[in-house]
Amino acid sequence: MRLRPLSEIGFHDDGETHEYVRVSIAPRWSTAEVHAAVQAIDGTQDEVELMAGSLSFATPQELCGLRALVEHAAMHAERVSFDCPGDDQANRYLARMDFYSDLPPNVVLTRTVPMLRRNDRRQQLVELRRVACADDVEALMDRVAKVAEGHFGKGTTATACATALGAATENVIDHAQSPVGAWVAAQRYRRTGLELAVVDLGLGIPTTLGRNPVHAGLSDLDAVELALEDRVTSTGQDGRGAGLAELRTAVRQAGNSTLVIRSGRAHLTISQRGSEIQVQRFTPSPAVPGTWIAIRLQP
Amino acid sequence: MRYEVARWSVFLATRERGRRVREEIEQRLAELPVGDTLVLDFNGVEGITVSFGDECVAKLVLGRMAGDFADRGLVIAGANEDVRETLDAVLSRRKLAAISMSPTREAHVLGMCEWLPATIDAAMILRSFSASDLANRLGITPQAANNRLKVLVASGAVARERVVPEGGGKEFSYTVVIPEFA
Repeated sequence: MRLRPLSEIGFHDDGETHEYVRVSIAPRWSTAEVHAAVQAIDGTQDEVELMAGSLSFATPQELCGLRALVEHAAMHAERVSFDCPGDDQANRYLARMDFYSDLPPNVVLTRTVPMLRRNDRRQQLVELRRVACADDVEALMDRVAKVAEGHFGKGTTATACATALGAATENVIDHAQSPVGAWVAAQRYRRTGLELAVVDLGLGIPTTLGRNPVHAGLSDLDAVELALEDRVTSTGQDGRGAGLAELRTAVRQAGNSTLVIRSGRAHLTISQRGSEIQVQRFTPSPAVPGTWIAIRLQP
Repeated sequence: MRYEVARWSVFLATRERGRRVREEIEQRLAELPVGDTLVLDFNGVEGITVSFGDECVAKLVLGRMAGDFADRGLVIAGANEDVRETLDAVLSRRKLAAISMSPTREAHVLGMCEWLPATIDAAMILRSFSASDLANRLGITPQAANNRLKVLVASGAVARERVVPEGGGKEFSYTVVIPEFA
């Protein structure tokens, strides 16, 4: 994984001294850079500058992560300046994906948001959205089903995709205590298939699961892997512990797929090709704030 | 009486939603005359999450197990394959069962179903019966028949009413309340 220093902490001196954080987002950045930036923005700064001017492409997970970072920065600094991509196509894509919609009032954009003629793309994408309640989860499931129908046709697999995202987001609502909520987006690519993402900046799976004494003391990787099993719960209550297992089952049902879960010091990738399943385990550095889930469903 | 679940949404998720739907269903059950059956109509619902299914349907059946609305019937209808699969999973996880009616009006057991289908078959033949009638029919002990009846009543297929026998004391009478077979 590529990791480069991206956060610069310094001072503007215009008679008064303002502490700021400047986050440079590279043309092809990695989520680890956003994880580091979240940790660098800790509430002691007056201003945060998010320099996305050279951004040329963003996957659904990167979009979710970037928007979660904007929300996090807006909660911790008086002013957030977001340098929009200079690449017109990239900037239009962000606008099309509703990246600039409902931004916190203390976020300032360096460019005008482009006016778009919106074609019906319900079978291609799910615009970036925050999920905070039952209505949001259900509306999201409906949209995901439409995108999945574009990929798989109407039927059980499309419903499984909707259920997977529904389970992942309701898990955030129930357990994550994410100050920025859960951010979700999806995009269907002609060559590589359907990608869906859910990002939150909450407690993370290892911390949540560790509340149950039965599961305390596990490594973050073991905790995330265990959380994917049915009936493994942070509360120990009957009938619970299905959310992430449901996600895992639904992804498995969808066929050739990759499920990536990053949380705390865990980065777990489960790839499935036909009946062959591969599990890769990494320990990321820095630790991942909250839980980042990406689902890729290949054609 | 019919309760249309799809009036909430085509997809149903979260425990919060499950609790709200369950509370409304319980209200309808309370308004239902004793011995009648409430049909939980899932027509138009495309999918549900496990959390919703557990909080709504499994906890409803759990309540019946404890005696809530045990004198009224409850049946699931119009559920597509995905919804039935999820309900089957949530009920199995709690060792509970419910009855789902197919469009061709056949009854299927969702959830825990080791001995339940045979017990329902016996109940269908008896229609209105006591625990000892069922014990005799199945060739099991009265205690085993009582245990089975507890699950059967919770499933919604059978309603239970307290009766006062001639010699005094207390006894329960059971009646099949699945509409097509009652």
